[in-house]
Amino acid sequence: MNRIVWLASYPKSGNTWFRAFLANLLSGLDRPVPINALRTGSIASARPVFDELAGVEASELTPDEIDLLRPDVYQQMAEEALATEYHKVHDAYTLNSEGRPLLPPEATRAALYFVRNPLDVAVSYAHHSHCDVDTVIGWMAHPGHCFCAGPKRLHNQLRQRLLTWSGHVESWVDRPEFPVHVVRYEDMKLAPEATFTEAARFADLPTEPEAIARALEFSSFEELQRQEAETGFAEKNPRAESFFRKGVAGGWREALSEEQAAKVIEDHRGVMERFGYLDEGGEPVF
Amino acid sequence: MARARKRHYSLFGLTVVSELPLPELPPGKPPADVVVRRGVVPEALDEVKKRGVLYQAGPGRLLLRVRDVGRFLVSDGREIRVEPASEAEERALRVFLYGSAMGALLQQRGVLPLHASAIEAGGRAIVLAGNSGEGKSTLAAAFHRAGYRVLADDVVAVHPGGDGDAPRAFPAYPALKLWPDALARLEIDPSELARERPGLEKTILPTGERFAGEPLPITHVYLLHSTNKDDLEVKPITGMGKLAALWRFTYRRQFLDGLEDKQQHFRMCTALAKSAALAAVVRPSGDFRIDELRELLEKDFRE
Repeated sequence: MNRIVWLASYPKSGNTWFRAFLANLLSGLDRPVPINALRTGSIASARPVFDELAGVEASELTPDEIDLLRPDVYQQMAEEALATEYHKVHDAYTLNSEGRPLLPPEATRAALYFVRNPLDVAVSYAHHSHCDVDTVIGWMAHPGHCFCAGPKRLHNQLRQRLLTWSGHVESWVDRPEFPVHVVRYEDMKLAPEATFTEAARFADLPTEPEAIARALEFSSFEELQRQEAETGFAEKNPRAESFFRKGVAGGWREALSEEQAAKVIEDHRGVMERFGYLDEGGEPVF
Repeated sequence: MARARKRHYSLFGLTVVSELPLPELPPGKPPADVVVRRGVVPEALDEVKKRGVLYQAGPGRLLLRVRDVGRFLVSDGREIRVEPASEAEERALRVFLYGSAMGALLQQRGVLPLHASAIEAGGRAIVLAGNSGEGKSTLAAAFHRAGYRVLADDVVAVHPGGDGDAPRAFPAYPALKLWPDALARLEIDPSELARERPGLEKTILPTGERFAGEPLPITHVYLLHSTNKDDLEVKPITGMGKLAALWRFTYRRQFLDGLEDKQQHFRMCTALAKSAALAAVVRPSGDFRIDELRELLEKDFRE
């Protein structure tokens, strides 16, 4: 059954914002959904999801063994789903060692792919990981970069291959055998009604202007920040100060040195040009 | 093929006679309650009530298929038939035998398996339950280091008490399974320790003398949960919440749907909810604060 819609992105690219919008769009309530109760479906790499659907624990398996099973786990998830489910995913769109897509087309209805200016991603990702920007710029250029891969401990999520930032974008935009709709973070910011409506239409969600407007209001950055200050946010890295930090386009101009910005542009020029992050003169648009 | 020598072992309150050597287990007294044998295991069950990626469950039967390790058929709470994959590591076979296969067998027998570790304090069992990664083993190891005896790690078998007595926890085997970060936190030298499976850095820490080899009445069940906040707290669970929590922390809960009926499981959860104090334990995910947590629980269960 093709019941899963993946909400896919590189980290810090608007995925959680969209999930907050989605939760509010579906809730139909006259007040915002609490950020710790979005319930839009667990992240694909959540350990309990694997353990429950597999019947053995991922903690008894090697990361490669887990990757061999992940397609079947999502297949099982789709078979048990009673309706369309929306699941966040940060994995790049990759194949396991048997050549099967980790996120199998047989289980998938479609994917929304969120992409954000890598100059801003670098700044936000560094804050999220509580580490310096140069390290993060290095990760974004490293094809082997993974989440939760260190073998010395049990991570709260399964290993996720992210590839380079460019590799991540291209893997999701060019590779899947199911429909993928690309959503730019900057368009979510600058033209929210049109951008969110189009994404909702693609994902078979309600598109009435009033419903969209209300969901946007209840998932505004200010609202998310207000809630985080009040209750905390369960998805924040324990070492990061906050999850909903700035939420702006172009914030990198105050945070990156010229060398750092030049390095990101050099590493990702092709994909940046393709998605409108560089103008014809090679200068950053946002 | 030479006939394998059979030995008797003790596990979860049952005597297991096995054709496979099970070196982690203490010896058991005949007669056997459970037989582990090698044999042909089918690819599928005839009657399936519940299935997952690696298992099929039906009344009195559970089939487990782990690639490159083997297939296991668990029948009527009495027999586990094992068909190892070619080149399967015996160590790996035993991980899934002691885990998912025994979990299914306990359920078939009406024994309540909890996803938990347990320690002994004052002749009573203190149960530390939690999902994978929530720190059951690490916390049990902290108690062990502080001089407590360990009863079980990862799976605690809860048998009826009999005659209105409290349900009792039965011992697993004298070892804890720990990842290197937990060993470091506990200042344990990993160099002498064996790995649970080749390819995984999880290691086996023998409990040595400090193993509780006898059944003990359960007085406290703690449900471990970590958050990204700094809070460290023990919050009592009361009323219907107790039953829901025990159901939720039943080991391999998803297999229950294969059983003929779940009444016995419900009765066991109810009996334990009645006799034991339950509490949710919240700790920070980043900084374990392991000794502080141990002392907090000590204070709670000694009251």
